[in-house]
Amino acid sequence: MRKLGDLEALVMEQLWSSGGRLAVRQVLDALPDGRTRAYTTVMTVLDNLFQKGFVERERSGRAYVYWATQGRAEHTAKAMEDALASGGGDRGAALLHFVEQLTPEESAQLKALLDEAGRS
Amino acid sequence: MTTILLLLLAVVGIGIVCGQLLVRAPWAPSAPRLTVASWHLLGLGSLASVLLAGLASVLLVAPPALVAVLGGFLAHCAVVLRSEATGPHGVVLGVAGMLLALVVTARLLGSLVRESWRARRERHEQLDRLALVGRRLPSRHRDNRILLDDARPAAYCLPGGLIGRGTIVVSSGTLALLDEDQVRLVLAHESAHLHQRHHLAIQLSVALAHAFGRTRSFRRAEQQVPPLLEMAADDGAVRVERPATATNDRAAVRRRLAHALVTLAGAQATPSGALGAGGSAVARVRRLSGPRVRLRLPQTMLLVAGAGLALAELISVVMAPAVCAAAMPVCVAGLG
Repeated sequence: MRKLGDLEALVMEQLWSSGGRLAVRQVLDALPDGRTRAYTTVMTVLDNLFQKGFVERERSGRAYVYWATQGRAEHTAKAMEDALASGGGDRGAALLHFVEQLTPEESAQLKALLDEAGRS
Repeated sequence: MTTILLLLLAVVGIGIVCGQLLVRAPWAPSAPRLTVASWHLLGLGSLASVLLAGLASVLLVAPPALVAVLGGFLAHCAVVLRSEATGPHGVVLGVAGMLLALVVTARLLGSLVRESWRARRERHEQLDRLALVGRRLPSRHRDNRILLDDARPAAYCLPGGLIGRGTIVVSSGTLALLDEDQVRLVLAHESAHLHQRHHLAIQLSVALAHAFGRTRSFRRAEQQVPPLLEMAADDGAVRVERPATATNDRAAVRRRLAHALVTLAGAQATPSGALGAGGSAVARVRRLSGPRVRLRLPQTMLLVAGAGLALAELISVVMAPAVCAAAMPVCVAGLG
């Protein structure tokens, strides 16, 4: 299970760095140790990525060509925004944050309090 | 009939009074985990009582043949109850009681399932994305640790369900703002969330509040529980990381953690959960910057006794048939 997740990242890496549309064979060849991997494994991984909405695909002859729907930076930003948007209000406990936002006033007030505590 | 109604009223009254006491309790921050347990036991205990009352009134309408099967004590109960309410009056009550028990059970279970599925789905979406763009940090702990390449500060954990490994995520923005000790404390804080299964406690309070949202006590518990769990995680972080610091001074370590809190909270760009969670950061920093207050022994014992009572109530609902059977000879003697 974990291994497949790592392979997803590797495959995604190839799509991002090529910047274009790749067939399964091309992804396989581009992978660092591609020769040792099975064609069907990469096909499965790409299919998973398609199911998750991370890649788009189009039929080209007898095979599909795949491309990334979003760049690496967009994925990072989305992960971050989802995380920041979650966990507050009545949305429950999908994830637990270390701390929520403070207003500048609260922040200044607490800094003063800490400085005082540090001196005593 | 009157017996059931009186018992029900008593339970509701006790629930309201205990809820008030818990909200105002000055000792709550000194024993956050015990307080969370009290909230949950209070909520589930009240529900159990309503359930029991509903089931008891079913005895009013149960056909005599079924009552006979139930065994001695329950049969006697039924006789006593029936003597209090006879005629069509009793039938209505019996049906109402049965419906009440069914609705309460269905709502609670439905809400629990819905809430845990929703949280699960949201976590999986996060993890799918993190698998692509997160960098795995070396971890000698049970949890996975992932670095997200984003300048905005964020630190959070994704619980792994009931038994799975959880994941802790920190952004590069967080690492840039904190020193090494503070990063370790933040990670230890999230680790404490995961190891102490805080998400289950939150899920339970959210599910109770969603299922019985009109009841103020449940909504209150939902608001009170998360800040208490943050405090528990703060304590856990200090406990774990104190020996690793140069000074090994508890007050100093608590202040380092408080500094990390203020730094990160002040630098956060997006108003994350600022609306609902409502300023537990302020309470946490105040608590960490002062001396550690521990509960005195009598208070602890009182609290444990209170929680124990609620727990006993819960267990009694589950065990009621067995207890009844055991008490049967006494009862028979009393009635005879």
